[in-house]
Amino acid sequence: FVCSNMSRVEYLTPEGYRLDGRKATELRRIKSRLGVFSRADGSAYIEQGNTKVIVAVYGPREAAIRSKSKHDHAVINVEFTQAPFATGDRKKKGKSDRRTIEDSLLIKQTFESVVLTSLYPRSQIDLYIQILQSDGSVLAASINAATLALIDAGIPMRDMLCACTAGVLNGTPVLDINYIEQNAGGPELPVAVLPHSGGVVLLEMNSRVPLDLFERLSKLACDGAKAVYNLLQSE
Amino acid sequence: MGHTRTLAVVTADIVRPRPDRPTEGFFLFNTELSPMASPQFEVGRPSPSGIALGMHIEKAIKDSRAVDAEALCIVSGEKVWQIRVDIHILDDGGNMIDCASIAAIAALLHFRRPDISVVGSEVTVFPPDERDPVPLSVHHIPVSTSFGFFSLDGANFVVDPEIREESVMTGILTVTTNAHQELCLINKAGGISVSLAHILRCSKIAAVKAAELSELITKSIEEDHGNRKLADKTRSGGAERSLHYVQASLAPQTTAPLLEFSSSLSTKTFGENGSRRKKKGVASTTEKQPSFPVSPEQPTSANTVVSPAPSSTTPRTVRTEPTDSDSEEEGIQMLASTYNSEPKAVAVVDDWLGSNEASVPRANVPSTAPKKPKK
Repeated sequence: FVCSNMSRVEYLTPEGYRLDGRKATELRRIKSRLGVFSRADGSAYIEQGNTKVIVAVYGPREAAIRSKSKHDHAVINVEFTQAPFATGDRKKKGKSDRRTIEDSLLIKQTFESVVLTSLYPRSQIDLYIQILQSDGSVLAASINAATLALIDAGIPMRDMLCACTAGVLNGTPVLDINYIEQNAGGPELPVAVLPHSGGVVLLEMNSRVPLDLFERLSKLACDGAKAVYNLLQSE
Repeated sequence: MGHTRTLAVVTADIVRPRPDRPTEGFFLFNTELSPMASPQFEVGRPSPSGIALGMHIEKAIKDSRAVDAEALCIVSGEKVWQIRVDIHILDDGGNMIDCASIAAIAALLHFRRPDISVVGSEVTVFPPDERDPVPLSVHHIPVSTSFGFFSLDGANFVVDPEIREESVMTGILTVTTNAHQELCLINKAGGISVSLAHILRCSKIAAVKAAELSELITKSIEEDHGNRKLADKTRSGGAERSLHYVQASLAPQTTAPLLEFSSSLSTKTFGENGSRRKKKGVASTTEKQPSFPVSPEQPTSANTVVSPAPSSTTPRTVRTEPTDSDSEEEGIQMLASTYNSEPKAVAVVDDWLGSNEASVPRANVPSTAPKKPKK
């Protein structure tokens, strides 16, 4: 899906190298640290290439708003924010920004199915996600960081949820797109999987692609997510 | 679809374009989940599911570039068409997303905006009785198909979950595809983890369903278009209003869809009410634009539309050949009204369960009572 007004930037050279020197199916380097905050029950910091995300987890704790609590399992609240300095131009994203609300809801629903919330009735688990530097694949990095933070907090989960974003450059499916590649206008497919079962928990795509390309993209994204899991395990 | 009823209304205004996109018109989508649809909805603040529904429809149509935005430009940098789609969920019988998406795209396909002519920077907007209104340029028809998952590995899934299935399902996947085997939007947020193979299978099923549905939609719109042309011929000057009623329903058990189509045409003269359209700096336009109330009357029977019929056209009922379909049932009922100054398209997606309901004749009772403007 090529934009007609795209300048002739070679996102993928004929030898198969992208703008940052990676191959099509190569992930960026992942660095992570657990326990960065002393006050929070769990916290994690992840760097996926130049994308830096920090997550703090508070909980399970007593539900602040009684009416919102459920009697048989915990409620997960997600606050997903992007720092104004995260992108090249400074932009302060408000809390009621449509994209922010959407992403918060997405992450909330994703983790509600992975965390064993039935063990903590009438309580809430708060996830505060802050993007410090955004260089593409922000949703995937947030999910990975949130998984690590939940592990740090000792909250039981079904499996470690790992996420990865796939995209298309010059007609080729690629993995772990960065900011420039994201703005190229191609489709973007973040996928979160549970590595042991291979089941997909989150799959979201907003662009128009032919079905067969989608098949290749989704398979690639799932493999990418499993690779992320291996990387995180080894850390 | 089933008991789920949605109303979609499209209106157009002329406004200044966005500064970063001076040559494109834009779309505004507004979704209302009124409390009459379900006890879960409250007046005022939309619930997260309401917001998600609105965003889904917006993404499906806007992001997939279903309707050409560049064609909505009138004077670059100054005047463009702003197309506003209002979607009202009238009754929640499950799977509001699919129903609302079909309603929205059908309404956009049906909508006719007034014809304009541009001389320099003077824009003349012609009312429908002077020049025929112009349809929007729709590239493709994105149709959503939702799947509800059950069981621990998501191996069991159903297409188009009903309200009871929705309350017990463990995961939902919404796939928006079009008739060209393209995937416009796919969304699986949370819920049970499902293997990729199942998701790909679902997307293939969705592609098939979307092809069927878009064929149904285009057929209904063409028939309605034919009727509208008939109405134009019987027009007698002055303000006009024509109301069309198209209903298609598929019976589930018998897997035999019946296409019932009845139309009633009417003309009525209305007083001048002022125009809602903003005309900024337009030199020569017809100032007095009677605006017509939109509301189709909602009588006690299921969504029959009532309209006065002074002209001699009679309702026609057409039944087409039943074709095979899956267990999914759907009915499309379209109410279209054209007005002098504000062409609007109203599409109501509706469905009847069971074949006995489908055979109930729709009575169009002429009424001469003045209609209240729709909110």
